[in-house]
Amino acid sequence: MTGLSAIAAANGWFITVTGLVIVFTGLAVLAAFIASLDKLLTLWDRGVAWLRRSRRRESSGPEPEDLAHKGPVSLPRADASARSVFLGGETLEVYQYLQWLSRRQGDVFSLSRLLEQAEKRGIPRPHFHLDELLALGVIEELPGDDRGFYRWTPGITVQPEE
Amino acid sequence: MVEASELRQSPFLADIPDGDVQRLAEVAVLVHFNESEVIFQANTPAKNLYLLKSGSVLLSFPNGRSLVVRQAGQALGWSSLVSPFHYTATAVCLKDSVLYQFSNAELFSLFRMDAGLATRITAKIESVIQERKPYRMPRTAHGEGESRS
Amino acid sequence: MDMVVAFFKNTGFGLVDYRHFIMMAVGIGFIYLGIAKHYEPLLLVPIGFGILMGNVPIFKGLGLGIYESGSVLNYLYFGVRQGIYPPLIFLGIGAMTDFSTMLGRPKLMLLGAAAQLGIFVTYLVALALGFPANEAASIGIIGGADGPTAIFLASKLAPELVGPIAIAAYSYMALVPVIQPPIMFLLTTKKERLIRMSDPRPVSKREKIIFPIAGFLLCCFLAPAALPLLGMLFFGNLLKECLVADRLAQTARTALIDIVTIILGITVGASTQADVFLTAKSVGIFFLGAASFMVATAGGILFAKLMNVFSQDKINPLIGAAGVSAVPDSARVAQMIGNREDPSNYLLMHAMGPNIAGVIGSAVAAGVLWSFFIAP
Repeated sequence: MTGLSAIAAANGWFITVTGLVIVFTGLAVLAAFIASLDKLLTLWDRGVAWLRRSRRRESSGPEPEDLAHKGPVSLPRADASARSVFLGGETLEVYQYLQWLSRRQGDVFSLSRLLEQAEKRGIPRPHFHLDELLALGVIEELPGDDRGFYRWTPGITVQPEE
Repeated sequence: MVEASELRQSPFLADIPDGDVQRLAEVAVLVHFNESEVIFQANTPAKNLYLLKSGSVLLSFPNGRSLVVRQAGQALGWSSLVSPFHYTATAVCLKDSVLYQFSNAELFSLFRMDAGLATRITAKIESVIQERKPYRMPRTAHGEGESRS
Repeated sequence: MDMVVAFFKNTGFGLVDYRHFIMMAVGIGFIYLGIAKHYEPLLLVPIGFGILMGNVPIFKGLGLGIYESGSVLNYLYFGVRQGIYPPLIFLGIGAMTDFSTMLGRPKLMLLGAAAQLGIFVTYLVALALGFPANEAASIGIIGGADGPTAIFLASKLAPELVGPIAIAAYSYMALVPVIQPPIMFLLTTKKERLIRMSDPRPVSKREKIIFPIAGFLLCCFLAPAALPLLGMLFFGNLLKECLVADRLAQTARTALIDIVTIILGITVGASTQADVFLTAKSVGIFFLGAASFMVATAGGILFAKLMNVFSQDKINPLIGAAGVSAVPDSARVAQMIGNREDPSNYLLMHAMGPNIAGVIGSAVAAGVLWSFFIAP
C-alpha cells in the first residue's frame, strides 16, 4: 500500500500531529519554566531572607576588574628624529640589497614581495634582517589607506657600525 | 598543556578570569618556530589559533599588505574561530618565535562547555578582527572595498 | 590437492563477490572522508573500518560474523541492538555542553522544536512510499540529525535497518555544511541575515543546576519513552554543573564517550553488510534522510521568521537552522553564513541555544514515536 491510503492506514496523520504537539508542548513548557526560573529563585531568596531576618548576602569576593582594552602598541622603533642608524656588517649589506630590490616596487613597497625576492636571490637571513630594520625604524609602515605597505623612513641615515 | 601562570602573562588574556585561563592553559600547546619558517599559509584551512609568546611574525595578506606582530600576546589565525575558516594571511617568522597554539577543535569543545568563556574570547577575537580589517582591503585608487580572499 | 582447493574456497578470496567490493569501497570512502577531508573523523573512521570488517567474506558458522551468536563483534553489537550505547553517548554530551545559551534565551528552544518537523514529514513520506510504519518511524528520526537517537530508535523499531539508518544519519551530519547553506540562503533575505541579536541574560549557577533536574522531569513526564536518552543527557549535564562530581563529568565527556563511540562506530559499520545495504530500501533511506535534513532546516528557519512577526526582540532566522541537532556543526554553519553578510556578527553562541534544544526535541520525538509502537 502506498500514497495517502498508506498514511491513513498507519494512523500517520494522527501520529504526526500528536508527535509535533508533544514535542512543541514539551519544549514550550520547559522554555516557560526556564523563563520564570530566575523570578522564582528571586522570590525564593526573598522568602528565605525574610525567614532568617537577615540581609541578603552580597556576592562574595571581588569582581574581576575590567581593564580598558589596550589597543595595539606601536612597534618599538628608533626615534624618527634620530637621523642616524648604525648597522652591523651583514645587516648593512642586506639593507643595501633590499633598498635596491624595493626600487622595483617604487617608494611604497610590500614587505611580503620584498622578502620573496630577497629569498629568490639568496640574500642571507632576509627575515631576521628585515625584522631588525623594522625594529630600528629604518623601514616604516604607512598610515591610512596605505596601511600594510611600507617605505624607507625618510630622514634616516644608515651608517656602518664601527 | 602549559602552565596557567605562564599563559596568564599574555596581555591578550589580561582581563580574562583565572578559571578561563586555566581551561585555556589545559588545551594550549607551546610551539617553536625558527626564523623564516611559515606558521600557516593564506587560504589553507584554519586549524589553530595562536598567541605570540615571543619573537616576531610577519602576517602577509594576498593583497600585498603586511603586518608585523611582535607584541607578546597578540593573536594570529583568528579565522580558525570565525568565517571564512581559512587563514586570510600567511604567517612567517622573522626571527625564532614561540607561540601558544590552540586547536580550534579543542577551543570549540571549551566553548561548548562554557558559554561565558566563549563570549569573552570571541569578544577579544572580534577586536582583533576589527583592528586588522584595514589590512584585508585591496589597494584601490580610492582605498575602498574589502578583499574577499 | 583437494585439501588445497578446499582451503582456498574457505578463504575470503574464494567467498568474495562483487557486492563485497562495493561495500569495501564505501568503507574506504568513509575513511577517506574522515581522514583526508576531516568530515566527522571520530565517527566516519570507526564506521568506515567497521564496514570493512563486516564485509570481509567469511565462512558462516565459524562464529566470526557480527550476526553470529557468540562472536566478539556480536557481543559488542549487543549494546547497539539493546539501545545501550546511545544513552551513554548522551551522558557524555550532557557532560560536555553548557546549556546557558539556551537558558539565557529560552524562547530559542522553540526553534529546536520546529526543526523536528523534518522527522515527522519524513515519516509521512516514508509511509506514503510503502515503508511499514515501524521502518518509516526509524527512517524519519534521521531528520533529528542525532546519530545516537537514530540508532536508539532504529534498534527498537527496525533493528535490521540500524546499519543503513546510522550510515545515513552520520553521513548527513557530516554534510551539514553542504546541505544547509543553500536552504538558508533561499529562505532568508539579506536584511534578515544581518539581524544582530542582543546578548542573552546571564544565567546563575543555581539555574544551571536546577534545569537538568526540572528539564528531565518535565520532558519524561510528557514522553516517558524518552527516559533512557533524556535521563542520561540531563544526568551528564548535572554532573558537569554541580561541580562536586567533576571527576565523573570528566570521565563521561572523555573516556566514556570515546570508548562507546569506538565500539558503536565499529559495530554499526560491521552490521552494514552487502545484503542489507545494497538494496532499493537503502537507497530510499538515503534519499529520505537528505530530504528530512532539508525539511528540518527549513522548519527551524521558517519558525524563526514567524517568531519575529510577534516578537520585538528579533531573532536572526539563520539560527533556526541550528535547531537541526547536529551539535555543534549546524551552529557553526549558522555562524558561517551570518559572518558572510557581516563579519562582526558572531552568531555561534546564539545558535547553540536551538542546537541544544534540538537534541532534547529529537529525543522527545524518538520517545513519542517509540511509544506509539510499544506493544501494550
